[in-house]
Amino acid sequence: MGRIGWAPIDSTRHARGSRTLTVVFALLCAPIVLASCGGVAKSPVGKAAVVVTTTTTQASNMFDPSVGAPLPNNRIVAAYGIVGGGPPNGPASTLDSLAAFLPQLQQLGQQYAALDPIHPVKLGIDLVVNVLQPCGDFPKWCASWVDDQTMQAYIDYCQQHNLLLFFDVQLGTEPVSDAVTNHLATYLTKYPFTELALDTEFHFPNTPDGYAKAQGYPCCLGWMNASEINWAINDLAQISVQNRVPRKVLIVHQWNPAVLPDKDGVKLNPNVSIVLQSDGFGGYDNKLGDYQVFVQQDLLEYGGYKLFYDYCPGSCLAYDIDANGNAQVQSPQDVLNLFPQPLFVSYQ
Amino acid sequence: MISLSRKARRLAPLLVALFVVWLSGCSIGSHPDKTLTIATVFPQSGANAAIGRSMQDAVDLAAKQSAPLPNGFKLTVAHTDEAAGSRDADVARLLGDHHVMAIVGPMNSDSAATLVPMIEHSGVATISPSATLPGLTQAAAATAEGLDFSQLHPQGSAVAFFRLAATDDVIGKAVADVAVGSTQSNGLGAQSVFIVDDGTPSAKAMTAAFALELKAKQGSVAGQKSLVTGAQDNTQSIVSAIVDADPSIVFFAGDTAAGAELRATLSLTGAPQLVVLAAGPIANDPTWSATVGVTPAAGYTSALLPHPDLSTMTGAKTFATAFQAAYPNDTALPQSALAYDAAMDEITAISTALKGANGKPITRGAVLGLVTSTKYPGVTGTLAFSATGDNTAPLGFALYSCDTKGAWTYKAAIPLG
Repeated sequence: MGRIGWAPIDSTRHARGSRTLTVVFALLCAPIVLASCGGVAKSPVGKAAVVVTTTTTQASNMFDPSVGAPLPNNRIVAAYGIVGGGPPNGPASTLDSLAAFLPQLQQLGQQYAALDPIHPVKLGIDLVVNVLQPCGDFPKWCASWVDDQTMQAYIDYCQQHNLLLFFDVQLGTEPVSDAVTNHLATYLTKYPFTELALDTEFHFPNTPDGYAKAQGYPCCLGWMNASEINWAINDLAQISVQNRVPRKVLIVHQWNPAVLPDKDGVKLNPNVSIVLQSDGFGGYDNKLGDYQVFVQQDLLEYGGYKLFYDYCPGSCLAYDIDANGNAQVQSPQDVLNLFPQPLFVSYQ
Repeated sequence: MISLSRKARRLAPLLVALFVVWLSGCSIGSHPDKTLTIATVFPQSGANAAIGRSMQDAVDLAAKQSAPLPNGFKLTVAHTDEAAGSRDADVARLLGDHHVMAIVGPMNSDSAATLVPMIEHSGVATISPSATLPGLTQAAAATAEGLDFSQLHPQGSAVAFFRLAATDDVIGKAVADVAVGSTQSNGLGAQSVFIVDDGTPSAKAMTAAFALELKAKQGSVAGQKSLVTGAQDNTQSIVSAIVDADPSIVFFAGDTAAGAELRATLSLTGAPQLVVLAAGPIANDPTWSATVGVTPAAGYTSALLPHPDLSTMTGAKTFATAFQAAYPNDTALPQSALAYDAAMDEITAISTALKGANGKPITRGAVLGLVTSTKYPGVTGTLAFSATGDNTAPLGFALYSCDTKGAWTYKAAIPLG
């Protein structure tokens, strides 16, 4: 069981970069009572004589972030990719490979929709736009960003093909607040179909110790504290409400308990949908066990699940293996047998 | 700024009602227009509106079928919305009107807990088809439920509040038996149950009885939470706790809105096939799936109605036929049959009082005395009340299940525990 997300990236594509109500009511009633006491019956109480008062809700232009929100009224089926990566990094790694995979993604979406009538399917891509890099080459944060032109090309593609676009970030030592504010806020604000994903194992504190660990990756696994995740949750909520875009989805990847050391500190926000994605390739039993531990027994809000194709038989390291030892991803029915059923499913 | 203590604020509606009753006292017994009224207090808005409307229709039907009253008197029906914010004032106004001789309702125990003091002070015979909180009529239970029984039933006042349904403790026991019972006997075969209530005294009373019976039958409580309606974080955190506990089923006690929120959140979060067993008005509610919001998400719900199904009531067929002919757009429900019987019981008392009065006006006291002492043979069975206002022969229950198309199916009659 393991996970590979790090990949050398084509550097040309990456830049650095009222308490008194009852009393008042009682006083108001008194004149009514007094008026009705005439000693002689006036009009009988009938259907027409009884004034039925119902509370009317004033027409309001209050924005409701849940209208048009992807979750929880849909299931998201996504293609994973690391911009500039090869086939092992997922079908969304290039626009060409994404285009080639799109019919398969659509077919998968139809299968999920047919199996679960509660959740129509929205298709999307989980796109790594920031990757951990050797600190010697990228000394500021030990990570690099996709250039704006490539970012825009993916945005345009997703807009044309009605796909959700998750900006998946590894970050190195860059704080979440810095990454979102300086690199993603413009897109998240402008495009309603853009969302955020945090790849926790590649994130390190912005401290000398954190830097040393990032430099040593994969000797040292990264992690993300609840405070960083909560910052993202609050910021996404503000983006949604202030810009009147549907409630955003935040994906938090987990494939090891150590990557979320204070998971209990993550605070839900009704204006953000939070998915804890159980991440990791390998045998079905191990994957199901991870899902049980990370999602079912420690559910933040919604579950996510990731599947790994074997794109290069004999040479790839990361793929799923069935009970007979064959490289094979689980079927949509297998995925929906999970408890709780994942609302975000991605294919790498 | 006027400032009153919490207790004083709670008493304000009662004080208004008493004032109204006192003012109207001079005219009780003098209604030269020869019009008498029975009133209903049922939800006309909110999650229980469809059930409330059906019960309202049943009372209208009873009034129509009973016209004319003896000695040239005319009967009208006044409807008030139990779910409206103005409920207490509306009921106070009714109680202050000397034409009003009797009330059918309220539907819910929470409303009853607020309205019973006014009703008892007014002496207006009131029959609730469906209020189930034990403490409404039982002093020992009231204390445990945080109710002031001396306020509900002031010393010296005749009992004016009656009810037809079994109480929450009885329902809780019966529904626990359904939870652990074998599937061959229409049970759910659950071994562990996560219990959720909506925070109301009625739901708390029911879950307490449920948990006791569950343990007695070797079932286990996987967890227990209270749900605050409308608080999304609270519902989501309860659902997370349920998923973590991975119980055989979830038992929910409470109102329809809270139950629908729990069902929807469970299903949308990815546990659509986790069975929710409920008790109360959710059962067979024609608007359940609409209240849940996503029809397929309403499925995998079983619910115990604290009344028998219409098909098992010997006299209800005639009622149902007449109901559908009169109100083709509404659904005849077991609750409607009970409301019909309650209304007929009261109208019969009014008619009897009128006959005995030889054309003179009748009093609320005369009607109340007859409701208290007379057995009425209704379509649901014989209505008779104990000295505390409970039904001396409460009816059994009906079990229903809802599928993913939002349709309820009657499964079985469940006897009283």
